[in-house]
Amino acid sequence: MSGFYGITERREVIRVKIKKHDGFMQPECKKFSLDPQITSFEMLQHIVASAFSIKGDFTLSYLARDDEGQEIYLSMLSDWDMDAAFQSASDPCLQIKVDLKPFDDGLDDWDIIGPVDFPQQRAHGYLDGSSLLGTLTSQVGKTVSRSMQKVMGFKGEEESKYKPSKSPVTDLEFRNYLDSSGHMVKPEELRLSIYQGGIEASLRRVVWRHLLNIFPAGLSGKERFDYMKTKENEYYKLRDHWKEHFKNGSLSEEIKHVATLVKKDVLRTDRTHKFYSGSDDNKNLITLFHVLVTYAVTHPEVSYCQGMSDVASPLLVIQKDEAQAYLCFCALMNRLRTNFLFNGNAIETKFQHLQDLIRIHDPVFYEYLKNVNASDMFFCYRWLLLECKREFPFDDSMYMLEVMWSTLPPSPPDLELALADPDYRPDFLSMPPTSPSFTSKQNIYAQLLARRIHIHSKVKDIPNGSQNCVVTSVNNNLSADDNSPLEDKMLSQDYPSVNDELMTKSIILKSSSIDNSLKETCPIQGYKSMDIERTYSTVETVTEEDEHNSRENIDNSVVGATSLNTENDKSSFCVDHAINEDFNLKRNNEFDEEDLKVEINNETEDCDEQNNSQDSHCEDDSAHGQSQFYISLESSEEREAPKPTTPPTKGSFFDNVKKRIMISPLKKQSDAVSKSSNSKTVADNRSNSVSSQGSGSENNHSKNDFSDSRQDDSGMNSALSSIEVITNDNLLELPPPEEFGSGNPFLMFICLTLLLQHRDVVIQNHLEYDEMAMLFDKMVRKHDVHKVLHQARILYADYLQSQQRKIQESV
Amino acid sequence: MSYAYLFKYIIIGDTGVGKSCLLLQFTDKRFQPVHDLTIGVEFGARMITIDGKQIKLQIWDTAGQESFRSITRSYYRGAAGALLVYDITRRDTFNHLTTWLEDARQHSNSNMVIMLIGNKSDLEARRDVKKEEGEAFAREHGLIFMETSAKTAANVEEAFINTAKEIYQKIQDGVFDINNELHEIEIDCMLFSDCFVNEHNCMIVIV
Repeated sequence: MSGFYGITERREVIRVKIKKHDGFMQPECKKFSLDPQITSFEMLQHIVASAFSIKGDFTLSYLARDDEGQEIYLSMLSDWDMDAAFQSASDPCLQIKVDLKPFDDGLDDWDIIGPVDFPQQRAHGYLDGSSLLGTLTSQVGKTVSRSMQKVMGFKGEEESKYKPSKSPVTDLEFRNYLDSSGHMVKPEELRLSIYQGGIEASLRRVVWRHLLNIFPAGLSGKERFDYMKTKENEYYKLRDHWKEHFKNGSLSEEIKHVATLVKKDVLRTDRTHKFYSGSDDNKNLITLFHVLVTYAVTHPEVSYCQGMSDVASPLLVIQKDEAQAYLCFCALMNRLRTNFLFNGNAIETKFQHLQDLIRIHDPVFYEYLKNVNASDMFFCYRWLLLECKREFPFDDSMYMLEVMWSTLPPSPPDLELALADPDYRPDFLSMPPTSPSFTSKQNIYAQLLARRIHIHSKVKDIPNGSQNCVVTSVNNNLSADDNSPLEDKMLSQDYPSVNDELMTKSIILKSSSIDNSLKETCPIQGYKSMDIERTYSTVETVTEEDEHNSRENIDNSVVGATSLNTENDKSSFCVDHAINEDFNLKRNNEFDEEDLKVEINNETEDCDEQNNSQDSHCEDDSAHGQSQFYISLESSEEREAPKPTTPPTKGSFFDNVKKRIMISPLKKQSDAVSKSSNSKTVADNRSNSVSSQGSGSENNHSKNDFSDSRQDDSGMNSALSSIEVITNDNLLELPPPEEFGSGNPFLMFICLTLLLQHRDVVIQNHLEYDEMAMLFDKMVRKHDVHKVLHQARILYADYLQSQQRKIQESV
Repeated sequence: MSYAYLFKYIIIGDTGVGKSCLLLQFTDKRFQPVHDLTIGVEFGARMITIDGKQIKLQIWDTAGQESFRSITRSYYRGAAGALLVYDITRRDTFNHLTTWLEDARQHSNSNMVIMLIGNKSDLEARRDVKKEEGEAFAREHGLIFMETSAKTAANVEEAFINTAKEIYQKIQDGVFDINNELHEIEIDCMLFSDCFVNEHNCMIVIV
């Protein structure tokens, strides 16, 4: 291995030209790139063997200059030789000669890019001499290279081509980010790891809470446990408050209306996923309903808007507990609420940024979009609103979401996560009292709803009084709005958290009749999550959570007067079981966990030392540890440096993230499988942006452009040659990560990737606006998450590099 | 496939009235009881023939609830026809028609043909809005009216095609002051403007 420490110029990319000499045959040349940090001599041999299909033995030598400046070939027999070659003979490119022993067969003329090909090329030219990259890379590099070796062999299978290089975060790995008392001590490493490979499905439940910032900084495991318990109770109070009003018939019209909207949407949210499938009685639907209505009620400014059910749904699927899902939802909505605000500013910004991004990355496609009147990017609305949650198969979406979240700056709540907006008052919930002083408050909801659901602001226009203004009974109220009793059920039933069995078994169809279900309820305060203990202990036991049974108590306060209609209503929502093809869990089995453990443990020791001194500051996702983390990675001296005492700004998080993210594709590249097409893709994008800036050589464009989504293996030459034209200057036009994408820059690159991966089809077929939009609509839940994330990471790294350069230049 | 005319439709109405189902029934001739709630807008397209002329219907199926209003406005741009849908089993969806109508009139071409649709006519047992009420509303506001069932496909074809016939008739009658309209919307909506560009007094032609 190379990875020398303290080399003044640290190369991340070594370009290699290999010439194979075989007796009398014409020498054959290959070019590719290596990451010197993670390439071993053994790997190089493997790459060479594969690239030339060499079955037998061969020797390697490299071209160097002797003291007189004469070119000579020196043999390369070991890691040591290889390192020497990297250092002394790799500028501008390392030339290696392969000499075959007599027997070999196939001389297939195929271009293979080694496992460590591509992001190095990308990174080339952006080296800043920082040893940070190398340090981290070499840490993870070992892991990666080991896992990589298992995948080596150039399977080239489409599905493994884009698989993340790192396996998902496991229970074991996660524990290494905590100290012995459960403080989150290495939030950055956790995020980096998630960014690279996601989280093991069984561990998502625990880790998502960290990623979503539900915990204030500095909690120990025990404290987190208590915190969850408190917050869960707080949730049930909030929820039971409006439910009680409902039962009393004192719920205001606006909130009832919200409940109706939510109900309709819950019945159409992810119903093809087993968690929500089956009859409309599925308890999980009711749980989701509770979460959304409680949020709407307690956040009058946001209330409910379509799309929020899509946002909440995965949280419940993963948390499997109503209160915990609610906490996650609140935390996530802290960031996403602007998407749903009436003023639309956030979404508008995102459209604008996406437009800028596509203009810069792919001017040809941008022109095309302009010509079909699509450059407003409105056809990407769903992507932006739901952060692409619906664009991938459900389980893949989970992976995509966590990877995306891992790129965001931690923002733990100051003291605790607020479960309700400050302007929430429980008395908003009830019927408008006659007292005028209350009416104004009441109007907050009324006004908001009027704006949000514009049509419903016109109640006064309604010809006759089916929209009751005065509530006389619960059922009348609801049935006036909707004939389905489901809402009554939802309102009158408490369900315990969903158990795992529901997740793994196929749907449980509730057999009970509507009449029964209407009678079933829990006591208002009766529900306590039994998962609480596990909140703390999940690290050990995530996979074996107990199920717990629902406690269904009779509550006579609600009697359905609408049961007659139920069957019809249900029939219109019966689930199409056939649509299940999307839900295949994708797994990486090839990663060697033992290796990882070793790596992680080594890291842990280092970091624990530094973190012990600042326990109360470096927990969870506090930005603190983050900057320190990166500082400490930059040099061994700084490792001992005192901790910063003030939290870094958001900007500095992104600085750190930049470093972090820029590194990660370097690891990705070590994905053993051929990446030629990917490198080409990016190269193409890049050449696009370059040429756009220059003479606008359209022909050149289209040539490159069309190759990118075809993902053919046309080899490294184009990728290599594109290095020369990388300038990325245009990327500098983009806003800094704190602003880009209105707080979620990585999303922009996912969207960009979705566009780039289909732009050829669009352009070649001259698709009109609607046809293009239809194409993307058809791709709902069908995008290949690995392929997309792979490219998005690369594009994102490009962007971060350029941003970093911008900062450096300005300094 | 070439066509003589391109009509853009927009489907509007409360959430859950069956807008997406109507579209699916019209374009794919199938009914999908469980589908995603629409976010933003979804599209459908189908070719029909009126008076021996090929007409492409480009249909924008909108979300029933939208927070981002400027996107909603964009949906109306260049629409030649609108299907305003309510659910005959839910009176509230009928009650909200006036607001939808105002919205549509405010954001669209004044000559846009609007078809009022009472959907879910298969659920006769749960009917909450009489057919006569729908007819009366349509009369009062100058709309065409039909009751449909996206589930059984009853009247779905007719609803879309009759709307197209009405648009076509307006073009023939010169009611659509195409060229003037065009100038107003040309910049914003190529789709609609394309319809008009090449022919003397009426819409034309894209390949």
